[in-house]
Amino acid sequence: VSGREVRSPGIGRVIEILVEVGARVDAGQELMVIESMKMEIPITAERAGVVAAIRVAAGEHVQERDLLVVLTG
Amino acid sequence: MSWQPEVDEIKRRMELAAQMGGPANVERQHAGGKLTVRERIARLLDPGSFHELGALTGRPTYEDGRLTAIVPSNFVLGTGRIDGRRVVVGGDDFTVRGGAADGVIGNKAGYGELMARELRLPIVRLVDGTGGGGSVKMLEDMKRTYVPANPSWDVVVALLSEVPVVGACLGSVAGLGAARVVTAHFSVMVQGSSQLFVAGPPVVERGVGETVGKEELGGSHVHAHGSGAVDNEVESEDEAFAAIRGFLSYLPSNVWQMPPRRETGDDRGRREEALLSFIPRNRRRAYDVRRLLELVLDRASFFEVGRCHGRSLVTGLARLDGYAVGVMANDPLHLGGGLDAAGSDKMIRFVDLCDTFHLPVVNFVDQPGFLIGTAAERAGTIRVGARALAAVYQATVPWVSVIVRRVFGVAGAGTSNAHGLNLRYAWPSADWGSLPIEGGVLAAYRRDIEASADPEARRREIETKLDALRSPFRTAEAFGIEEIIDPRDTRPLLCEWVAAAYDLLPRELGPRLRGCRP
Repeated sequence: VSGREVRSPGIGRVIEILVEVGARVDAGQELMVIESMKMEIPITAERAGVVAAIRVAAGEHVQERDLLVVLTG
Repeated sequence: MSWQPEVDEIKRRMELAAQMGGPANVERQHAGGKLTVRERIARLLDPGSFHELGALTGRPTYEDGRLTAIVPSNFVLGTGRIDGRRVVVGGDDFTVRGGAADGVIGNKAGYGELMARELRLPIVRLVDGTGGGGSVKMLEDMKRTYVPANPSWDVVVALLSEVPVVGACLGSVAGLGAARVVTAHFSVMVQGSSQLFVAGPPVVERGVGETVGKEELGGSHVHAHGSGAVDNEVESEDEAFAAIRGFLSYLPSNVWQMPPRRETGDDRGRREEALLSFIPRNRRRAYDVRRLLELVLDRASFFEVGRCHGRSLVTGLARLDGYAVGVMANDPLHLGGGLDAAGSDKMIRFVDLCDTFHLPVVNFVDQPGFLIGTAAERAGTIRVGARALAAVYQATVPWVSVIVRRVFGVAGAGTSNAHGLNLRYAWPSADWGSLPIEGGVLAAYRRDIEASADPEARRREIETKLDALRSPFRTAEAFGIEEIIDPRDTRPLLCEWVAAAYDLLPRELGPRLRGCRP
């Protein structure tokens, strides 16, 4: 199902994670913030669901398309 | 003796042609969620405006000298009107031999291309065919092979510099069909029911050993979202026709004509209060650039091209006081607005489109520079980026920049031709330089910082000192920027500019020396 895997839109560094595993999130809710080219990019849930896994930690470097969060439900 | 029997015969034959590949094939087409070529043409054009050419072309069956059946050519061609303006339209009929080239009789498609060129009319290609080579079964009939030549390709290429060309991918389209879709100023494909590739799954499996389905290989998610081979993705064929009509509404019929002006009823003096606080004071905070465009451009006039690829750059057509313009804007929500190879490629095509058809360009600038890092270097960002800069410097169409925030580096220097009059307006949120202060300090003051007892404190101290010099007012004092404006005045100023730009256009008309490429 589309929107289950939240991936990084581009290169950058994870600066803040705003949800925990098990949390229920709404469509459009901010899940984490990635800094790219000195801009804070909010990463949002494409659809509502429950956070099944968070695959990155704050401070971690990410590349385009890297898996960030898995949603279920 | 009148010619009534023959006139009746014309009508009978056109009725036979209207049956296309027969009821069973038409039903199969519909079952696949697709319209027939004749339904497509009818929905694309103004009602009743289609004038067909070559309707009588087909493979006949005669009994005792009388025609009993005819399989029409699988390419339907003619002229019609879109918003009252004449266009050439041609489409593959998938219900006859899968739209493949071996179902074509004569060079109907090539005739359409030539007609567009000689009559200087926009052309719309509704592509739904399995490829130029048709089927290898043809070889059994021909008893030979041949050196390939794309039919009428000289005209297909020449059209790009003279008239608007639109390609719609409306089925599984391979090879020549795919090339016909993308050799265009604007291309569109339908989610789920259309795929585009150089070669389809069986050929891919045989050639490179990859087992892949057609949707995975060339669905709209591949091209409209990643590869950029197709500009826009839509959810239905009707949306595709609406997109084609929308795109053409901003363009002149050819490069010898002025882009059409259309009343939008929007007040040219409209000053939006929201603009005063639109750019966050926190430099690291992004904003919704499409909302910014809505506040400035004529209401609901923005037609975005290529929304889902090269996403750090937003491109589209719009109106200001009814005048058609090309609009570019950096999107801080993608790569901070940094220009990557995909965004540069998108920028080249868009600038060329605007320059070819004399659409004045408005560039909303918030450019942190070319994308950096190993992935960006491997993608050849600097060379594609340099091509984008060259496109900007080669363009001679009127150009205005609105600097809403950052202008940094080589990419920043390529947001307009800095050596001409270079009309630009800066907002008070403007922030610019060859290098950003953060990061730049470490490079320039390394020895100073390292020699300090508290390097971190020393770095911050230098940054604070330099930061105070960052105000755009200091740049304005040195005439490094001509005007800093109240953001609320942006629309009135641009509406004044666009009228002046259109006064210049009549002298600019005609083909550019530099041809347009897909």
